Amino acid sequence: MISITNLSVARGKRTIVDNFSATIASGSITAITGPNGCGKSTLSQAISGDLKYQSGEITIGGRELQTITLEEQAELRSVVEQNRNYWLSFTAREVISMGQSEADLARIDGVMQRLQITEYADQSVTTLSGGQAQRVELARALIRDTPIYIFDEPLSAQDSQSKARIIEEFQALQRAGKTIIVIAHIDRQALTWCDQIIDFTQN
Amino acid sequence: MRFSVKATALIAASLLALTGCGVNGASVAAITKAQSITLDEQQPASPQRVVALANGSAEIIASLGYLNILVGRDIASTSNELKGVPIATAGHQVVAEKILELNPDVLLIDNTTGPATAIDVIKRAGIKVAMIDEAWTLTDIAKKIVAIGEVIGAQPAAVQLVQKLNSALQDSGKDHPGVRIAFLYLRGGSAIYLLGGQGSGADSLIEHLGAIDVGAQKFKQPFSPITSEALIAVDPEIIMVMSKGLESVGGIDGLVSLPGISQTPAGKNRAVIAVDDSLLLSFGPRTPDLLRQLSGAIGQVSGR
Amino acid sequence: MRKTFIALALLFIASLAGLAFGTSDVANVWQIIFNPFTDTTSISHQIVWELRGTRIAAAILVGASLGIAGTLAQGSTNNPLAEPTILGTSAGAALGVLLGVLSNLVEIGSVGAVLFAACGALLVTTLVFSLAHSALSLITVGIGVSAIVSALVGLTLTAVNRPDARSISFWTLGSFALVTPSDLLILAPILLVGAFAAWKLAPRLDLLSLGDAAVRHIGQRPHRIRFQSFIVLSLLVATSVSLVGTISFLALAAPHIARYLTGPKNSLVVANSALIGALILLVADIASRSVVPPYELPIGLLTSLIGAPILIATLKRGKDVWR
Repeated sequence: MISITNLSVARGKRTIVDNFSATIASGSITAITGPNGCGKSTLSQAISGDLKYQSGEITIGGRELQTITLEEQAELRSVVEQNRNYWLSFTAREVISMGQSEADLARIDGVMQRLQITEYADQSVTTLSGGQAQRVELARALIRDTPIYIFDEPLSAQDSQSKARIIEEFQALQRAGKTIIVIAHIDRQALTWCDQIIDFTQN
Repeated sequence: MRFSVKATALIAASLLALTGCGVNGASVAAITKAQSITLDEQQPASPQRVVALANGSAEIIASLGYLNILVGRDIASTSNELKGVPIATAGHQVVAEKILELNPDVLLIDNTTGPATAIDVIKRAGIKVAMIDEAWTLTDIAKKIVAIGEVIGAQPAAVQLVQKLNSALQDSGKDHPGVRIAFLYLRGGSAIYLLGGQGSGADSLIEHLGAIDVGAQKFKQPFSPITSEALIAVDPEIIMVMSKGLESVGGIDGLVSLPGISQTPAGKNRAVIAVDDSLLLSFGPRTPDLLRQLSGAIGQVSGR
Repeated sequence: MRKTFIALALLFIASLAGLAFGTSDVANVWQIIFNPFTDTTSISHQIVWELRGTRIAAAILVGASLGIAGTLAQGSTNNPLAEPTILGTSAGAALGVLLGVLSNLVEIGSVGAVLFAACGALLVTTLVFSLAHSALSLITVGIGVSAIVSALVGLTLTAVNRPDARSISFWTLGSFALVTPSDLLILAPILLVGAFAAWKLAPRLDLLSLGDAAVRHIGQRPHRIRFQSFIVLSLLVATSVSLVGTISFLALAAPHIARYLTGPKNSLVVANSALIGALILLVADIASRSVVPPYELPIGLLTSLIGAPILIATLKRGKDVWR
């Protein structure tokens, strides 16, 4: 279980997340939605452990996130960021494999096939379209085996067919007992596949 | 008017052997100072206040016996008798205000004095600015003395000084026929390694002593950046450098281990002459004594 | 792989040419080249092996060091414009040596001076990186900090009257004219250690190219990777700067050319950038001492003249190597 209590996060002098609380049950798919610029990505970065927060707490399985080491965090969660900046012409396959363990690499072909990356697996990532690159980043997270997955805007650049395939992946993860957090700028009707929708703007 | 010679016998030998190793009795010689040829103090003629910035001009004015009219000198005029005269430049740069403050009647400059804008300001302020030709050979010294003598209204003293200078130059003659000398300009670390050629100044000194300036034999320009192989090809028996340059490459040990130098006879025998930076190319009243010392040094390090 | 072998072969041919050609015409030069251990006291042998050989070895070692340094600079900062003169590494090296010499702790040209240079280089490089907050500001801040450090070094040199320290101001004009065999004994081991360390760091630099967050998300510390790169970078740059002066442009160009040849994988880029750096600097050095005999031409200008067209050609042809 992930529990967020009275969380406030500031960037510089500006408070972006103000006194936010939520509970995310283990094995659930939770969507956090809100309009652009409301601080969703900041919240996602705080939950991912990338951003220090000033007050409140985030606990994972009862442990305060800021006391968990970087190495342990990596065992706990996989993250897909919204931003991608490829400046070197590695192939899609090379990018997905970078820094991954042997056990994770065994899953690479299956994940690439299901996300339809195989056809451009040996193409340079600097030449990919936004949607293709986004799927490469998803694959980097999906080949990892962690109890929690955090996706920031995972569907934003996908067509409806790809969206369906990716949602299937999320549901497969859920069946395997994983906790999934999706940060999304989509309306509620489109999120029927989620167990819980937290409207970030209301907080 | 009386004049006397203060020079000669006073300094026995400021020729200093630093290290005595090497073959054929060869070793390193350092020349750190030389005695000026001078006249007695004279009564001021026309200008009462002179600032001398042209290279070596302050020294010549003092030798002419007119130290009393000198109110400013350049930073390179370092001889002892000039210590009491204030330096009128900032570094090597002319600052108009500083000169005007000294309120001179005449300012002596040469081609290297600058910046031109500062000189213009001084001219506009009504100060007479006299351009003195630079001296790069022994024969230039007399011309320079005469030129300065004219500017400060001391023609008779100039004639006397030139006579004394010419006779003093005869003291050292062509005593080292065929000795091959290279004048190297170096500044340590990594980059600069220049061989003196025709017009470097050193060629005039070396040839006066009957020796061969191997750089001037081959290169028409005063200084050439050459390869180490080219230095081996000119085959010097003696290498002449300026003291600070030698210091900057780590002294004699640093010098003779440099590529191209270690392979020459001079490098192998550590036959090196180091001369004080402001003395070597001063071409003025100290030059006859410098030549006398240089002649001794060549005899000492060449082992001939 | 084939391109690497071609570059290696070219390096070998260039080395032979470097031994054979120079200011002076050495009789039976090939005989001397192929019999390095006979008649070692003759002037011809000394010219070929002691003079030319030393310079060739120095050019290869320094070129390789700068090639690796450039790869580390660009890889660790994720910035294709990064190189030691822009990151402040070179200026920091000069500052380090100056402080060491002025405090009378080390002498110019000694191993101690190299260590002082490395500390200064590391300090300034780290400062530049910590002040920057984007790829663009890294370059701007780097140029700014380098200017401050160079000005401090220049002013100090003007203020103190120390001929030995003064030679530091000539470091801006690199030259191989005064390299001695004993310099090789400092260059070679540091290059070996640096090359090995860079090769070990290479896979983590690959990962770092995805951004700091991506590195953290799989449990590694981007700052640690970067700091280790800076240490190796500083050591390599400090050594070449304090022995032969600053040779700009090479560290920028070599990694780009290497990426064009072998792709972006940093383990390959480290090796090939070293090779390309060595090749360009060697050719430039041979040109500097044999194109207009008996004059010694400034090596930095020739490096740019030879390296820049290759860089431009590779970037034009290899559009997708980086963007």
